[in-house]
Amino acid sequence: MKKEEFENKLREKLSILDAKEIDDIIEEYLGYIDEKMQKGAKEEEAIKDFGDIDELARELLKAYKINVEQPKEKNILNILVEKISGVLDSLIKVFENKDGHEILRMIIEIIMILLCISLCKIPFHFLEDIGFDVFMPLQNNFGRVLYRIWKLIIEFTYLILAIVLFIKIFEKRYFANLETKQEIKTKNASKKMEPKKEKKAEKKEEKIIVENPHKTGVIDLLTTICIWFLKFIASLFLMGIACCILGLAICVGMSLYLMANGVSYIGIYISVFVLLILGILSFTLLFNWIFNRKNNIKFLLIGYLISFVILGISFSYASIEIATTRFINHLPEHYQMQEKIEIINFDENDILVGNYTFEIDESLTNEIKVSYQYPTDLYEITTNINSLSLNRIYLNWNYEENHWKNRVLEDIIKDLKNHQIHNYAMIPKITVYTSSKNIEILRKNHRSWKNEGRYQNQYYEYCENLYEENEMLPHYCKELLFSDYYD
Amino acid sequence: MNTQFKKGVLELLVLVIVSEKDRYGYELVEKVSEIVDVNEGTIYPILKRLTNENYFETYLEESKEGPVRKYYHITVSGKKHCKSLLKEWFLFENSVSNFLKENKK
Repeated sequence: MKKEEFENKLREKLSILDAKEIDDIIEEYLGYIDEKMQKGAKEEEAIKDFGDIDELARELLKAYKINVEQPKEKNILNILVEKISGVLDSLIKVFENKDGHEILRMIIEIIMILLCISLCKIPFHFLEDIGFDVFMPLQNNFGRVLYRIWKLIIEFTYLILAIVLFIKIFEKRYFANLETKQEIKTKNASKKMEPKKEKKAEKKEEKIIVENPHKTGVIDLLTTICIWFLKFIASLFLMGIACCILGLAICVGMSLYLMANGVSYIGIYISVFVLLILGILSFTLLFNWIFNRKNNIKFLLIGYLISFVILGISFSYASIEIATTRFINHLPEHYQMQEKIEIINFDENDILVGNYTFEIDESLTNEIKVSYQYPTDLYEITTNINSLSLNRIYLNWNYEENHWKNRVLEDIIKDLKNHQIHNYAMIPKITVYTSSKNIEILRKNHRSWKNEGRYQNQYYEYCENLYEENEMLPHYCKELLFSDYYD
Repeated sequence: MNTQFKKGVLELLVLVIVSEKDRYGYELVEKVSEIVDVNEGTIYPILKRLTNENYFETYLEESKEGPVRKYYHITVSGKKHCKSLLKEWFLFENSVSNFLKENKK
């Protein structure tokens, strides 16, 4: 390789730099080559000692703090891509530098930051609504278009703001100690540093140094506010978890009681117990984070891992246990059923409200016999049959507990031992006895009341009002609303 | 020699050599390559950076052989920087070699 060739190649590779800088470098290197040749070396050999030109150019550009891949003109996209890649780079660096505890803490904080940012959306929604109120009354497509544009602008601003905010907080929080910032500083300074402008450059550097503390002060404040806000939200979570722990502790107590009584639902017991442990683990994790204590990360991770494995196994076992448990939709046989009977006089216009089982008893031509069947061991009922107005009969009842709890508990435990459960929440069984003719009349009255009763009339009234009030409704709307009425 | 080792040490060597006496580019390259084996191109970026950071000043002087040479002269702040680097180096070297000796036993 000749000198000219070397010079041209190097110039091409360094074309990003100022012309004067390139001249300086070339001059220097040609000087080296000349010196060597004076001492008896051949031209080619002297140039060979510089090694690979690409490598040399990269080294030089690095000294000027210029990234080789960087294009000359920047647009927003490039800046964004650069930023993201920078963040990724330093992210890797951060992960290299930090231990597990800090990484976990970082992940929690990132989630919290995202939550915060999504909360910031609320004022933007408000702005959108204002836009709706302003533009929509224009009542034509122009207003709609304006509203769409307004919405777009706001959504976009929010998006950019969110990204910038995130990056700012993130940078401030995690990359403050890395060199990246210093590099940017010196990059700015060294770019404009030419021998003649050295003094100016010095001033610039000073300015940058003066400006920075102020800026970081504001960002610091913002970050601390954000962190306090995050901690506030996290403490709310903490309260939720505390409630869960309390509930689970009660469940564990119950399972211990059942276990002592010989009920064998092992899967459910273990699931409840492991859930309690998971709750406690999460509680300590969040608690330590909020109050700046150190988490024992190894212990927590192992705890979580083991808990989840056991939880998976015990859940599947529990589901099998639940599936094999029989549900019997009546009370156990040893509960005594008692019958309470009420007699009502029958009128041809009577309407029986509610759906009941009818039984034919031809002897009752002028009366209706109502029978309430209930377990007297569990509760006592008082019947309350009333016919308030328009011949409607309501078959109501109230019940009073008969200190049934202990007894039922024993029965439930007995049931669970056999993997079955009876329906202990049985309500009284109501049967209506009367002659077949009366049943027919009652059924007919019931049906006609349902179909042509006052509800129907009210519906028509409602439609009529709606029609008068809403002259503005579009035609097809009216048709849809009132079609069955006008038919 | 390991290039990673070299990179850290080159700046120190350049500073020490220039603080001894004003030097021009190629002379410096020769001096350095007596100590460690370096590529000729790698010294200039270091000189450039040190000049930009005001540790060196430059002036031109004609030589007996003919071409005009750019000489590097160390400034006050350059001397300070050199001293602090030297201190760091000795601390570093000391602790590393102590560790290695202990490990050998």
